[in-house]
Amino acid sequence: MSHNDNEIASLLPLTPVVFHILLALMDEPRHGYSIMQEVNRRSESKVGLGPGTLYGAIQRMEDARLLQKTEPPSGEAADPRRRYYTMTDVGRAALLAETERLESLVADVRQRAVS
Amino acid sequence: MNGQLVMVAYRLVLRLYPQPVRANHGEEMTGAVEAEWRRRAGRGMRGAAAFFIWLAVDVARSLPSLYVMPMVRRIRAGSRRRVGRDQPSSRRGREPVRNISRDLRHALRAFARNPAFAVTAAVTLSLGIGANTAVFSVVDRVLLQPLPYPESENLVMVAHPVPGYGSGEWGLSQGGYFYFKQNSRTLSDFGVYTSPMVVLTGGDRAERVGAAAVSASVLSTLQVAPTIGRAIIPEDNVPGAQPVVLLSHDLWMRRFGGDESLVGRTIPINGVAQEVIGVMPPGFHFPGQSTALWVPLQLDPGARAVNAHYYSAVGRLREGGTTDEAVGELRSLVARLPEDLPTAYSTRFFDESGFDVAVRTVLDDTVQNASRALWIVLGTVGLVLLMACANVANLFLVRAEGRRREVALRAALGADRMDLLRHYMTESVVLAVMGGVLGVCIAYFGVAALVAVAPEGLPRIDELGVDLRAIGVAGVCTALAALFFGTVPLLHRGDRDLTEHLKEGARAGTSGKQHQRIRSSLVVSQIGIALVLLAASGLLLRTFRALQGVELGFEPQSVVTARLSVVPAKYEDSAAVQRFFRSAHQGLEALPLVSSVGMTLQLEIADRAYDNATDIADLPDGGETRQIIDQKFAGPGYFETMGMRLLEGRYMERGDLDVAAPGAIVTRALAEEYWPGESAIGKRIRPLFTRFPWHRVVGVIDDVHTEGIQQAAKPTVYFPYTDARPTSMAVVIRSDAPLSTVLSALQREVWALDPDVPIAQAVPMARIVADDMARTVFTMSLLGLAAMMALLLGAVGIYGVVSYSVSRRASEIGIRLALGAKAGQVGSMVLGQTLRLAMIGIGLGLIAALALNRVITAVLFGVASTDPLTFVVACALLGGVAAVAGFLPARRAARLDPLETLRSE
Repeated sequence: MSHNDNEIASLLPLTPVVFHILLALMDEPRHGYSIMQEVNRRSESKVGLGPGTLYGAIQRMEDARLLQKTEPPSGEAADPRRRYYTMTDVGRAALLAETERLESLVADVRQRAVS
Repeated sequence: MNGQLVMVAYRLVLRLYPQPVRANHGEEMTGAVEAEWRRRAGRGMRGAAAFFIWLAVDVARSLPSLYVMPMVRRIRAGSRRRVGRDQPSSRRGREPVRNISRDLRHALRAFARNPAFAVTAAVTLSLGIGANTAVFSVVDRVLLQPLPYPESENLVMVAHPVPGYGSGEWGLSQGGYFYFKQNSRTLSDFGVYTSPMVVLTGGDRAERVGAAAVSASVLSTLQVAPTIGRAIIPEDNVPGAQPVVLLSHDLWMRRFGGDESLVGRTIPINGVAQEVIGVMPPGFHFPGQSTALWVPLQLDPGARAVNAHYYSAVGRLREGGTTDEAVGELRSLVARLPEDLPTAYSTRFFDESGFDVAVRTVLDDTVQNASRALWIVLGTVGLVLLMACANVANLFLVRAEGRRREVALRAALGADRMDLLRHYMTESVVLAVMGGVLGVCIAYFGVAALVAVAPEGLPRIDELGVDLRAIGVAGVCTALAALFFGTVPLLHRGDRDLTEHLKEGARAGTSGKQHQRIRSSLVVSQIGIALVLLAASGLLLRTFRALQGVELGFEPQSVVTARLSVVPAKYEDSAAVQRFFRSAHQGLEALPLVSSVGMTLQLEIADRAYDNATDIADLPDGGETRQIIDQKFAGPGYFETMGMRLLEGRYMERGDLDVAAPGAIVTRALAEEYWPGESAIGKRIRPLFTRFPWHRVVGVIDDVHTEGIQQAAKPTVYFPYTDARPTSMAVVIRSDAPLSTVLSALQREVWALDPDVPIAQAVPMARIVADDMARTVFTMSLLGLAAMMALLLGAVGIYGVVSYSVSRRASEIGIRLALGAKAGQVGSMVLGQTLRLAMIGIGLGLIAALALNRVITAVLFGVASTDPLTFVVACALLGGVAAVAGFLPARRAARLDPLETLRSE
């Protein structure tokens, strides 16, 4: 792996927007508009992702090597303006690390709520 | 609004984004916005509004974070690169673009540091810009934009004013039409028409629709041709020609499903089969919105000219002609009428009537009534924008004051005046653009709201929308606002010594008096404007109250009205038609849910009375007179059902319809005018045009506002409807049952007698009264809204100025307190300053309001435009708001800790 735990730790906690973008990219590469729709669908429009927010985040995530550009999947209509993004290993690790962090928080709350 | 425009706008917004985001993702972002617009715009106004909110939220959310986040990161990383970022000014000229983008970034960062300032300023501005854009959209569509005909500015209406016979205008006569058409050189084309209502039968249900009977030249004058089939041609106008009809696009789609094979087939109109020859283009509804079909007018050039004026006329001025020219020429033609058409016009008639000719552009004619109110509203929101600008200028001044040191520092480091100007202009432009974008969103909702509350009669309201022109206006507002409050703070930067600035910055001393004076005058003018608006909306409120208090002369509650129109061709003669109406009346009367029922030709408010010659006899001197008075035609039961108050005698009865001994009802005003001091009962009166025998007055009713709430009640006589031999009458039913129940009972009764009679214009009478008030209510609610915004903006302005002056004078106040001044004295000193400003503003506002009151007089009713009560209340309200706005800073001043303020020195 090309990353170390320190690098991942410095990225946490992920902002909700970054978290949702990574989530949207888990299964397949997507272009920006498709990420937007997926995030809005998954969050029932609560994240309310718009182009400025999305591409601002993408720019930052590219800089932090959480995602990278990729070839369009074969079979998708080629709109030259659309670029496809895929999650990097760093991104996947960050997503998992964030999930673990949230899990431990959730577990903590549950435990206290019970006792 | 089209997608292209949205994309152009978004590309402009995109320039605000940091360069890397723009370069790497700009195209994708535009693509995403375009896709989203396509997805949402399909859902109409709501979808479009949702889109703009979504986009505005996104821009507002992403922009600051994109600029602030890198800074935060740099600061976290311990970078000190911010020091020395300003390059020596000598290098700036070479990189104007980079400088502008840097200024932009500076501006955004500054706003991010002080979001309260940016948000207040942008929201204030957006309210002003939004209100202006919305109202401009209305005014633009209703008043400014040409009608949907080629070169519509050349279209004119022609009519005959007859001052000798009252204020109304007559239409053209057939003989006059041919005479003008033949002899006029100033009109290149000229047509006449009438606007009947017709009954469409066949198909599932009978339907009563608006029609126009036109000369072929009407369509050629308007230069509009059918999209399918042929137009009406002169041969169609010849009496005895095959009856044909042109359909409106709406009617064709709605009733006939857009069936192209309909052309060439016949449809029954008023019971007569007429051949459909074509379909007019969508949106063509001349002369009125309700016009659904056009039939040829029967015109006979060879007919003997008679003095009968049935026709409305539309003409087209020849290239480069003016209405004045046309009036001049037509007047000279009119003067020759007694000579050339002696069968119709005698010189005696001319002397008596003052027979004249008037030419108006069609646009003027269409919007005559609405224009005054709309201009008032536009002026009002213009004032609100001015106030918003004054507030933002104030905010900027306060800020500029606080940033003297920064400015001095920049100057000391080599920034020249151009740099400073550019720097501050950038800030104001960014703010104005934010306000403008938000304002357009507000306007989008505003127009939807306006359309929703607009009175039904407002012309062309259906064409409304925020369009390119309105957005252009928003842009202009924005640019002016940016210039205004961008330069105001700079004007007074002056050429004073730099070190002076630095010294001043270090010590909050006596400087800035000039700024304080500007701010004070801004506040004074705001208060003045607020007073004008408050007084105007107060007057309209009183108008509204007065209108509600008007004694209509009838009780509209619990009365349902509908119009019944028979197809005359089905009946052998007029008597048979009258038998139908009588049977319908009797059938309805017998229904248990109906407490009373009546019929009339001219429903109160909705229909006009005929102002016709009437003979009145048994005058106090025993003689008789012939007068033009309002004639109405009604039947038994009408007066009771309408709840008209009987003052003397009795209501109309069935027997009064008898030609042998006809009866009539007169209003109090008529009785008092012609038979003063004696009972009107038994006096003789008759409608001239029917050559009927004398009618005996059987009852006197209280005055009725027959032409609307704002029109005075005129002397009116009600003759039996049988005199007029109507084929269409309004039935009025008093019943406590719900509207739908009454209407289904009405349908059963009427259709049992004749299934081809449509029941149209079925509304509660109360609705007709409410619609009549709607235009005033519309103006009033807009003005009220504007006045409220003005009051709010005024309060914010006062608070800002006084509060700032308190903080600037903190040390002075501290010294006063330390020297033994009481807290109360300090408080009242500050409050006094506020009230002084308020008084000056109110005084100037009063002068302005009185100077402007002529403008508003036209829309007032039952209240003088100088109504003292309204003005006193407006002044008091404004003074009270000023006192409250000044109270908070005054209290703060009184509570200052002298030690604290002196220590900060």
